[in-house]
Amino acid sequence: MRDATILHFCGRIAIVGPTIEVRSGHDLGSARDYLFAVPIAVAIVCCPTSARADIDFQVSATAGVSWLRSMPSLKNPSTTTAARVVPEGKIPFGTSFTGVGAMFDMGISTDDRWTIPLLGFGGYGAVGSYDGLVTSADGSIARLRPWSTYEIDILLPGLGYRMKRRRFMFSATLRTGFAYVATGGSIAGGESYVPITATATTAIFQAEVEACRRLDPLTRVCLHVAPRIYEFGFLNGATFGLRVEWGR
Amino acid sequence: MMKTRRLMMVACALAMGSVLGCSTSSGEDVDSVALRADAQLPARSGTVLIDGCVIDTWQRATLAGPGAKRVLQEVILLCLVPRLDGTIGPRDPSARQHLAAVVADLKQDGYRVHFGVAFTDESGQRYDGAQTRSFLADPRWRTQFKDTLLPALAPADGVELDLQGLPDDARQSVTAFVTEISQAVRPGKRLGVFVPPSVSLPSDLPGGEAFARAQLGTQVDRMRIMTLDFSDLGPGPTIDPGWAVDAVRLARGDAPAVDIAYPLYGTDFGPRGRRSVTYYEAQAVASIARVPIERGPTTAPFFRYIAFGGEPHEMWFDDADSTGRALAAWNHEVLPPDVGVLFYGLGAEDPSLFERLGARMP
Repeated sequence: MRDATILHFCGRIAIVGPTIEVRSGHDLGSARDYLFAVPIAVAIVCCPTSARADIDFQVSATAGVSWLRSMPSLKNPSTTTAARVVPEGKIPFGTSFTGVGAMFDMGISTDDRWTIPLLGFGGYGAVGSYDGLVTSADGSIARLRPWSTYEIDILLPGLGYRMKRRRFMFSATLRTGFAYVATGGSIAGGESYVPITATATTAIFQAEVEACRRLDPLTRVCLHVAPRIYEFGFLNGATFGLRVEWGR
Repeated sequence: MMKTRRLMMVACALAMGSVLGCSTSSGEDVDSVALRADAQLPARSGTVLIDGCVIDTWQRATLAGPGAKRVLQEVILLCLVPRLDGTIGPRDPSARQHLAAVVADLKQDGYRVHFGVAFTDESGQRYDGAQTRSFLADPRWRTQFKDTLLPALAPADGVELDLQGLPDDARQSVTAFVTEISQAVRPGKRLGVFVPPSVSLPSDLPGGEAFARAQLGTQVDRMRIMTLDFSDLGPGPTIDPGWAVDAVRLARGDAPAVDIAYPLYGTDFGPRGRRSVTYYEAQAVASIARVPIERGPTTAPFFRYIAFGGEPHEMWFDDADSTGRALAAWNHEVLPPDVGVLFYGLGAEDPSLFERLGARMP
């Protein structure tokens, strides 16, 4: 494993990752290797690299839209109203959701073909004009305020393939993760109501497709579309947006 | 580099927009899928109560309509009253003849007909609880009641006992009374009893402990949980659907065959107390007072107005929308299918109610 070097990159100091070579097991076990491996690993996780090697680190920022075809039933907390104690349960929702927001993602590519997204975080807030939703919670009348809905996505590792043609790059990836949605609302109790936050969590399985154009050797701008194969149901949503990627 | 920075600025602007929120309320409310006006309602048996012995033309027309026939299977005429000596009235031959004709007419339309016994005096005022308790504790009074009830019930399919305002210590007398009536009328006729809507043990209601539901449950065919007059202290909806669910769940622990009650009337709250109003009266008052009708948290309509003498009033009532929402909210996960609905006060309802409910019945 060669030592990491420090270069000027994009006008700032950046640690540039090393070329990683596969070595035999007993070599990796030495104290010296660990001494170098730790800062190198930190450098890989923290910064984009201009490594010339088979493994490249990638980071990206996406501004875009998240769309859910049908919001799931949301979990309401146990709530004491003027009329009763409404137990924890499910509140039917059912309408669609459109949010705008951002996603930050990191991953690696190998052999300039295979991509392994590692970890991503996204947040989306409702956009547009929404009607209030009258629904029910264990027999009580409840209201949800769809305009207060937000979604948080945590994307976990997946596997993808990419190909480059001159300045253009195309990739497709399958990926897992979790999504959390929350909506403000209230539950009626006689002539008054009690505010609540209703929530839902689900596993995500999504396909990511993107088409990119290189701006400079380490920066690309991409159109990113990620149909959600599963999110609170099959083929129930998608995210899409404009993505900027750093990395080879 | 400039391109990248611009893109980053756009990305940041969108992210900030999502954080700050760029969505708004349209100011309108829509129903969720299950509560929509075109969504099917959970199937339940339906009963309607008419407060009196006479069915007016409005009530008759409603019951003859296809909507009511889909929603309702049973009609209760809250008509019979016990006199001081326990004799059941009306006893006049002409009154009995009229009642028999009404029952026959309703049966022709396919309804089962029950007579309700209201414990009121000759002026129509309810006996106070202490007096009713003394009646029930008297074996001679009970015998006279039982003996005169049977002929009065001849044209009907069953009888419903509407005991109200009893003190808690009337428990034994109530149980003994219902047991005797049960032995006298069943199984030839059906027996039901109106029960206060307690939501806790011991009962949270005055007189709620007068009803030993577990014992009564074995003596009656149906227990009608009177989930009405939720707002008895101040202005508010006549029913809270969630509170009614709790009352029925508690009662079902003692007796499996229960009905949940839904008011067809509204309530006018003023400084001198409250009174029942019809849907049309509520609409007329709002129109004359030129005040907007709003919807409360349970979606029941209400409005505030200044009545005669400058008295501030508040009127709460139900319409086809609020009733339909409550019935839809009582889906089979909330209340099992064997829980019936007792609509209380035919004639006071939104005239479109049964047609709209009927169109949503499975």
